[in-house]
Amino acid sequence: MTAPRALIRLAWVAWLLATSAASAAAQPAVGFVGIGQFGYERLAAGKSFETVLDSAGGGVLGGGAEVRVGGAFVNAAIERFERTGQRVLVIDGEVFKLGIANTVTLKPIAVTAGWRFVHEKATPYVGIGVGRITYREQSTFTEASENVDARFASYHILGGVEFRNEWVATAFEVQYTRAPDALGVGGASAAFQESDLGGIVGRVKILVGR
Amino acid sequence: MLLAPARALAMVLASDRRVDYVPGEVLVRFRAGVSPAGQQRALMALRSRPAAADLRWVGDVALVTDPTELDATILAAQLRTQPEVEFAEPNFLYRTSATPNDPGFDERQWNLVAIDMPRAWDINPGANDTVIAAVVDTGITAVTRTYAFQTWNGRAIQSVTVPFGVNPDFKATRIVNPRDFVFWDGPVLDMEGHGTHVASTIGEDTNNALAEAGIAYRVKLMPVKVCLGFWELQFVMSASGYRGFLPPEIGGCPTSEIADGIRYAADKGAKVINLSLGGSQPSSIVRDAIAYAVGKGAFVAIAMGNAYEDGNPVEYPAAYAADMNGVMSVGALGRSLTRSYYSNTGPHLEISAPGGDDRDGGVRGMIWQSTIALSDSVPTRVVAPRFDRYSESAFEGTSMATPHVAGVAALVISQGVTSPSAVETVLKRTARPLGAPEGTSPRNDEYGHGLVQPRSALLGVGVAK
Repeated sequence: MTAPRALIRLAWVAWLLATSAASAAAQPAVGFVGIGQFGYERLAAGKSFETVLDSAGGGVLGGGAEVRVGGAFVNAAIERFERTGQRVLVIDGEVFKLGIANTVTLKPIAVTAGWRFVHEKATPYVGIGVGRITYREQSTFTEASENVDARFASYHILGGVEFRNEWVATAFEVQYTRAPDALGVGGASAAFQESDLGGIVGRVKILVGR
Repeated sequence: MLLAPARALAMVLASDRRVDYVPGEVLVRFRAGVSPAGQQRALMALRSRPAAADLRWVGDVALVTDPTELDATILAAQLRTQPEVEFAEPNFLYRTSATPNDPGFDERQWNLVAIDMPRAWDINPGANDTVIAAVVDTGITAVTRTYAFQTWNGRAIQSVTVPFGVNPDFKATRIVNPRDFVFWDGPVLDMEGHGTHVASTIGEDTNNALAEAGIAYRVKLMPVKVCLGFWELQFVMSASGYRGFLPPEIGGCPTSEIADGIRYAADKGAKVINLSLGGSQPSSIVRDAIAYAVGKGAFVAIAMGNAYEDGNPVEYPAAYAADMNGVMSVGALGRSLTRSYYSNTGPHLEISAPGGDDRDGGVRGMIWQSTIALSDSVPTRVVAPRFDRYSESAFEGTSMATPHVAGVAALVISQGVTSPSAVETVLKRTARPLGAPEGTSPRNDEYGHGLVQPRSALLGVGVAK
């Protein structure tokens, strides 16, 4: 990186902090926000999910709540992903679909802490957090012991932009999650050697509150 | 009549001399590019000097008959010395791998429960009629008709009328492309019961309140008759003037006809081929036919053999299975799911299935299926047999184990696994290991990869499990 470029980036961050501090001063000292959210998740174990579900991702729906103190925030959110495909056989990389319905449900719960660079119209923000993903998989003809019902730890980083209009705001957010060693022991994930249950989510959030 | 008196006599001689080949018959493959004149030159090495134009071909292998030299090993040795010949071998006789017994008991199909068929049927109720399973064996009777044959009654040769009937537990519409390669050009007739019993395990009609159940009870069945038994040979010998009874245990399955039958089944669209037969001699022609069938998309199941207590010899074509993807050798288990006392073992054993064991539960430990009523045809009991009545009979043998694997393969194929090698992989991966100490490789010479598990094979996997 050349010296002028570094200086330009430093100046931009300093401006963000300065203006956000000024705007934060105009916000209530402590704020509470309710959140509804929807989006699309592209799962890290894409090949495994695509083999069974015919898609490496899918729609997510959820909600949460956030507490704001100045520019800082902490939120908790829960989401749900569910999709039905079919059970398969993977033999030497070749996939055979068996026509037996197989449903995958993911329910991530996440806690995120971060900073909002508050501005009049658009407020960028970044955050980092941890979570727990509940993974369920069940099929026609399987017994309880053959289904999957497990929970895995995860961590994530996210960033987005919020656009406020009085008590309501709309945010566009991208989150990267990792849940290592959650898969890869059996099933298609073992055949494709994919073990991460995380992924990338792009979501739209509707926030109510200040 | 395909079974000429001379050939029937050769089968009698094979029994008398206790040889495992058809006397006077040798299989020859000429080197690539050898002209008919070159073939004729090679054949001049034989005393009878057969004409090249009169040869019968099985694929690219010629069946040469020399009635002047009954020792086929000598014929093969003479031809091998000719520069035009790539290989020559006797026309070996393989045999079916089962021993029948008398029916009459109430607790029967433990074998289907042992491999969890009821729950497998929940997933796949009997496959479907797009799958054809060929039974290369003694045949499955395809007509209801009466024929007149000559036979010996103890004092004279007499004509007897012999009724044949289709098994009422096989809908006639399920029998497709039947073909007799060894007895005659007419309809396929099972005069021994082995082929019908094997076919019943694969796909006897089920849920019809009749007889027993079969595994893939919706598949089409293709009877391919390649084996001769007592009655076929007795009829032909009596018709040619032979005065006397033949030995009851006479018969066999010439490798030339086995190879023909396998190729026919593959050409006619069979996706599963059951070979409940074998012998102690290797046969290139049978091996090549099996490879041809796999190349056409057929999965082949082969009996390991029943000679464990007779030295546990390597039997063929089972021995070829370990080196061929899409071909599996099958060992037999008794009711306790331990190896049947007779079932051969070895590094080429790939999977196990119930085959029956009368030392493990008596006759209740054998495999019960519908076949021709044996009381109507046992050579030592009747002069004029009939083959139009069916009953549940108990057999045991690797012959009985093999159709379990063939039937499960048919289910897997109808589920969408269309490659023979993939079928083999699935059956191996999902088999329940037997006889392997904890922490060791699950595969062993006594049970192969273990007990076939149809439900697991059909269920497949999800993302995580």
